[in-house]
Amino acid sequence: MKNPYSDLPPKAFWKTGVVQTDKVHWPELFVPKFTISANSAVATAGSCFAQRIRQALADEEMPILDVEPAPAAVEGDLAREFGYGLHSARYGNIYTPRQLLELLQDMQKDAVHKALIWERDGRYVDMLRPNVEPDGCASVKEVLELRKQHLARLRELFETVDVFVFTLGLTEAWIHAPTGRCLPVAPGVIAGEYDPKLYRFHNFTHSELLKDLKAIRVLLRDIRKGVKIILTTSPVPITATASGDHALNASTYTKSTLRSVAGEMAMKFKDVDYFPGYEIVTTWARENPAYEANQRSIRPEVVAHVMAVFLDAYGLRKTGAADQAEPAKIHDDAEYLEGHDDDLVCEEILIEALQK
Amino acid sequence: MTRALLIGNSHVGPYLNALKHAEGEVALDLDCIAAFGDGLERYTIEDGVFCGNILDPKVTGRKGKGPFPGSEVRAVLKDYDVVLLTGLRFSIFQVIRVFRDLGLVTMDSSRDYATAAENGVTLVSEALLHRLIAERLSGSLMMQIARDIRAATDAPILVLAQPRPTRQVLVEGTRFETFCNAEERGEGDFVSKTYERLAQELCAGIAAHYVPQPPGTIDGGMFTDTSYMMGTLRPPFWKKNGRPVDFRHGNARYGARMLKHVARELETL
Repeated sequence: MKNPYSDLPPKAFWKTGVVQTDKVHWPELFVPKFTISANSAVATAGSCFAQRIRQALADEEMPILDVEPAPAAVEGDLAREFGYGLHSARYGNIYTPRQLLELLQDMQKDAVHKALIWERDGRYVDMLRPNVEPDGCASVKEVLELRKQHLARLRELFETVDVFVFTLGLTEAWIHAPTGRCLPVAPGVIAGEYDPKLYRFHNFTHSELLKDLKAIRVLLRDIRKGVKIILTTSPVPITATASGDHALNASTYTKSTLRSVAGEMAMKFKDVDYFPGYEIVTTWARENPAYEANQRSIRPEVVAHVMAVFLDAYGLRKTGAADQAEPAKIHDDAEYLEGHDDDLVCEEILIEALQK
Repeated sequence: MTRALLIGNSHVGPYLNALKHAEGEVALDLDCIAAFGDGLERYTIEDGVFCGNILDPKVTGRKGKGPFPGSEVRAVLKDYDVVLLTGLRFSIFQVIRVFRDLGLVTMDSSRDYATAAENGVTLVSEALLHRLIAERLSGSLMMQIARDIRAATDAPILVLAQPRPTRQVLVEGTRFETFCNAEERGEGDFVSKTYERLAQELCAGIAAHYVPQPPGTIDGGMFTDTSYMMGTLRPPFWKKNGRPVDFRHGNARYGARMLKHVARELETL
């Protein structure tokens, strides 16, 4: 007797697609909608995990766009500390679609905002990318002019990008009430001070996220017709929640909502794809643990496998890095407590350090 | 008489020449350990003894790293009242390169994004620029030696400013394009002051004392008055109007001016 499932391929069944499959290469897990060639101009943005994606692509000598590269004299740790080489521009981590949408709108209007500057011990911090100047700026003027330069470079980025990879990180955000702007980090974590009259917590819903992602798509296509978007969901759990809920519930809400909205975007638009890195990391079908002892940082070999699946799907992998990945170091509790668990630049994790 | 140990590279020349010409005028009993270029890079300090470990170019066949004329081989640090350091890549030459493509909003040529873009420079924060300069100067052979000496002796350490170049570097075709750019953009004074401030801060950070270049020897902020360099006759030199000029090394006159500053500093320490 025939039924709708009888002719489906092995990947459609849990047993053959998940339990019995090759859990390193995950055949047919990701079948791209469109191609990325070795010459495609790729840009990356998003949460901390987006830095991993950028690095993996760069390791394969992909022409990853970087419109704000470190000046020739600025190298290594100093460059990273000042937000160079982490993403395709010096925008820092972009955790929510709203943050990206507002950045694109600023870029279009050439808008810089004096109200969006924190003062810290006589230094001035750009609320919209507080981590790119770890020592703060010397003046308000310096913040504003550096931001104007940033926006000008962003135009170059979005006028040339072929494929934009955006990693969704959080649904929770802090809004600066006077301007209504969405911040990448809570006030008081890097700079500023929490004042309930000035800042309000917001946990984005599926419909809000979907609306923002649609608006982002429209804006990107206005600037660069034919641009393709790849959405991913960061598999890194949230550091803390201000929602009032338990962190486990809040993290599940965040990740499942982001995963869901990314999926809906990919279902709706042929120029938007979803890469299931989140699934590869979080599936309980894994034979080895995906996370470090802190249950948050992802083991390096798992990241390598995730990126190998991505690169293989596009036929871009040359190095075989994932196959040669060394076993992860085992971090003891002391290392966990010190928070010395990976090399990402991630302001969100600072929240944990500030826990009483 | 103050017993001083002078450590450096070819920039020790002005002091040795000054003392030669001013016998008795400066109350310094000076020993020197110096090598051309980075010839001191193999130095060691063991049991309070500074040893230059300078390779003999006759043996190595490598020019430019041999001992400076008059250099001692080793020195027992406790025998000296003060240690003087100069050259060894702790200079405005290390800093000027940073300004080649970078600008700050406090510089007229990059006072805002539009002006910076017009002048082909990238705006960076003052904090980044200072960190970058500090990193470069901190990594110099001079700072390595200064840190190690600080750990080995309590004697005062004075870091003597390596002179700025003369305007000769503006001669077309030299490799000092960065000085030309800064001069053209009218930023010489800014670069100079930034260097001085950071040099002082860095030296203070390792409990050393920076002795800046005497203002009277400075020409237009970023340069040394030619009269403080002519006559060093240290090859390779350039010829300007038929006269040989060393545009990087001070002469005995420069050395004498600096030693007067050193004497004053020593009185205050």
